[in-house]
Amino acid sequence: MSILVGHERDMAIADLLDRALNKGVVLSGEATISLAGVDLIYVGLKVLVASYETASRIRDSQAAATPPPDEQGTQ
Amino acid sequence: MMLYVYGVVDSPQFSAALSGHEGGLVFPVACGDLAAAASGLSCAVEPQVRNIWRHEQVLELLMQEHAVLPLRFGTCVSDVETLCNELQRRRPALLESLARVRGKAEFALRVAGIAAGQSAVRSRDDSASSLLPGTRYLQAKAKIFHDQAIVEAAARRVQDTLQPYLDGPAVAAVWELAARASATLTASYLVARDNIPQFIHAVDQARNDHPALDVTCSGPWAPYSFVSMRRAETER
Repeated sequence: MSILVGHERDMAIADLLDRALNKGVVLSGEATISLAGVDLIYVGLKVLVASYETASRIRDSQAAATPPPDEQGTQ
Repeated sequence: MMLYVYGVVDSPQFSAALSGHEGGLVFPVACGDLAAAASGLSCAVEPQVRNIWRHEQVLELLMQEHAVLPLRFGTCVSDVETLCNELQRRRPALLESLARVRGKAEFALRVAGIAAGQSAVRSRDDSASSLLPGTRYLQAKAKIFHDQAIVEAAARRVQDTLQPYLDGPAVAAVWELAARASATLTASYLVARDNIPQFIHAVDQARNDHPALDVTCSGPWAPYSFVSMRRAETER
């Protein structure tokens, strides 16, 4: 079992999730992840099952790249 | 029945019986000079914390005797032939990665709030209704870039502060500005098992010398962060 050098066990869980869900060897094609027992998500869409950090990073980049509604010609 | 795969191992034999997801026996699948640690599953594994801990626990037990490359959580393959084909296709990169991580473990470092107290951009009356939508958009975008620059500069300073403590007892490191919004800097350190006490001591010393930095460290983990670069090269 992993040891904690830091003082917060939650941080260790966050570190584990960040690694096990976002890193490691990926085998192409066949690997699937079940989400809530319903959907099978191919690893090519792995951002759908991502850590908080990844979600924040994606949200930041999308916010920077997406013009406001007025710029898109919608009212 | 599908195969859930935990990791790639440098040995086709396990000395101890390992229990995997749903209590299934973890067994080696030999593919030439590589092997995979797998267990039979009737369905995919849900990404719940207890299942992810089980995935990690299997890897850590294997790491006590073997070099192990962790697979991403949730990896299932349909049969042994498919698994072996995948491993053989990546054989050179996998063997190189196994050699790299043999006898080593990963530690996770996290430094939160690295830009705390630093002034962010003050936009000039962004909410003024007299501004054209395009002007408001450009001002908002300029603010985002400016804030990012502040966080990135802070991240470089923090990294420069901590690296002298940690690089000595480690073999390799990967630093990443994980979340610009929360200004969290993360690092993964690959540490030889014999050097783990020195690495922990180095972390403690860095925290003591720089109490203003909110540093947390956890480990040892399976070396998730030290296989992806080779994978990317392989997939090109």
